[in-house]
Amino acid sequence: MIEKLLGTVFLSTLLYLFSLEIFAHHSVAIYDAENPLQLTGKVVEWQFTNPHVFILLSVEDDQGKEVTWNLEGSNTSLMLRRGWRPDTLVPGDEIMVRFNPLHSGAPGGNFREVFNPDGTAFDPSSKR
Amino acid sequence: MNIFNRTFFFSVLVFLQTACTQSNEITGQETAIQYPDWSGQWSRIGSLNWEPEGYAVAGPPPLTPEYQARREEFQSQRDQGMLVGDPPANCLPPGMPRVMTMSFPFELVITPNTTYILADWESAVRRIFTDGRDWPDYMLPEFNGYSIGQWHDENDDGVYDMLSVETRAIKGPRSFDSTAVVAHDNNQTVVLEEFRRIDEETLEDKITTIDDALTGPWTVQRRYSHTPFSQDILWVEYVCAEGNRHLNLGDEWYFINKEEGTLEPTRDGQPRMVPVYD
Repeated sequence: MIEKLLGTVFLSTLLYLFSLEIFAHHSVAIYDAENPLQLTGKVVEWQFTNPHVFILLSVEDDQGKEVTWNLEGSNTSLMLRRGWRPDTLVPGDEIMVRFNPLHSGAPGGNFREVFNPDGTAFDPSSKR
Repeated sequence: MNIFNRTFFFSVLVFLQTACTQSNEITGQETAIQYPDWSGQWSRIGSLNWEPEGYAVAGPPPLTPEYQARREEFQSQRDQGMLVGDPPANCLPPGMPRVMTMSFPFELVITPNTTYILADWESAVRRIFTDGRDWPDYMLPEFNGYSIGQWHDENDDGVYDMLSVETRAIKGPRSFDSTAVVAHDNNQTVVLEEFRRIDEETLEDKITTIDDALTGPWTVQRRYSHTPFSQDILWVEYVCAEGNRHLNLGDEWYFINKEEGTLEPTRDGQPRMVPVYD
């Protein structure tokens, strides 16, 4: 019985996770999925909010000037189920982010994946 | 026992028997058909397109030529970076019927007079009145509309197994999904639903939408997978205004840069908006 129950919960969770698109809230039309970027920088702020979470990432540009990128992610419901929490990132954390930039070229985008600076996968549970 | 006492005793007995019979009949009428247990958590199966299989499989949405042209125009504008034809993009609720795509899990609370659908998406609540009421003289249009339902026992086993619902007075603007399939501006949409638990793990909502943007009634069968009630179920609050960064001003769309106090352009050639104070 317990096995059956756990199996049901697991299957339901799996179905839910697989059926969830990253952006449930709205279209991602303002972002350029054809030309993704990857940047390494320091977290200025991690906003665990809806409709979408945000990483504010300070990155040094070609002229040595610090630019803050607003990187929009998924929603708290999905991020929570993937192990993310409001304190997963703190100011000063160094991370690498792969994202689809704004069509306009302004420093913003839709982040798809987060890595450690060495390129290894970022494990949100490692911060707890 | 004298005649008086016997008569009195008999009268009392008849009274009690009658009362019990009536009580049983009343109780029988009230409990003859039970309400189903649809508790726990329900999670969407399938695409966020209004067609659960996605338009690539199910074919294009049945839009009138006018609204098909509008969709194509919206899609063209989106390619330039504008979030047109998708009202939830700047925090309007999805409304009916789009809320039933259930981006996030939902709960069903069944009471004799009302069935409540509690959706994590936008923390939306649908009230489906099942108390036998008729349509009121006036209904204030709301994004989830006004819903009247009726329970049915399709297999006559003494337990209700289907809830039919009609929803009217639905406010706009609304879209069916985020692919620029929008409801008609006149907001005369009527939505008919049939909820059935088609097996232990699956709830189905057969949804027929009647809307003047469509060439005819559009029926889809959305399904949801079940997680039995437990302390491990996650319900997550959703307040769109908290972190929304998308702003529509006139014909333009901007990305709100809260930290800099500016509105960033979302399309090529669009100027950045920087506040100027006198």
